[in-house]
Amino acid sequence: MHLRNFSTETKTMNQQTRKWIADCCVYSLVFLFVYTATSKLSRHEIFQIQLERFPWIKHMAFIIAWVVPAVELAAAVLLLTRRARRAGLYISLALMILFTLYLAFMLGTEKHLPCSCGGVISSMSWGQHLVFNIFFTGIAIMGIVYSPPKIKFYET
Amino acid sequence: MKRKIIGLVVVVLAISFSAFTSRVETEKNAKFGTYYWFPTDPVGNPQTTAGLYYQSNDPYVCSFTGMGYYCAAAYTSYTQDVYGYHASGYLVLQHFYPN
Repeated sequence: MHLRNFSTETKTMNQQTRKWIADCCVYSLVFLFVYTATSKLSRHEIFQIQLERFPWIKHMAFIIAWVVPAVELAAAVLLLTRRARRAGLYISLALMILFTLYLAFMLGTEKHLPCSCGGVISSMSWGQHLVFNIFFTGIAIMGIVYSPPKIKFYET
Repeated sequence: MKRKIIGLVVVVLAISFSAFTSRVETEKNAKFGTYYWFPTDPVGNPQTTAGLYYQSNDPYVCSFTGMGYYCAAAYTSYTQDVYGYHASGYLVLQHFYPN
């Protein structure tokens, strides 16, 4: 009986720790997406001009300049919605992987362009930005791993 | 309820931080596609200048030195003191010579 109580307490504690880690990941991602999206929208013209100078995506600069902050805000909303949190984490992971791959591509080319990212992140070098993106990709993965599954199966 | 409050606080903090760092007011005064141009050192740091160029294209002529280097950069704003004009605001464009 005593052992069972101890086991239950340990399990509950672990679940609480997992939940706390998942919450930290989610709020970090929400902060990142809301911050970068509002920064991009507040200097939207500049963001579009910078995108027009990027290889591959310059022809879609106008659309991308609206779609990227919109998707970032949508991801933030999903992350803050309890039922859609897991979907938000997957979208966050997809976004971070996409940004990281593009950054890696930029580092591999000979193009020397200013960063079109929002706010203080734009002052980072490409290398620093790549590390930053990899870190937040890890945060998204950690959020998925530690967040409870959407569907719970109950023993009958 | 606690989660909602934390979520709201995070969103408000992010927007406030964004507004603080974006310097929206400076950019509202800037004409679309027109920026302050500054020469840069070979690694891309803007230099202090005696004159100020506010236009849409790069006014600086770069000379060939046998290897690539940063030549000029466009910024959304500037500051001025006794030493001259300094780049300020956002880095919009950066020209790498000979690209």
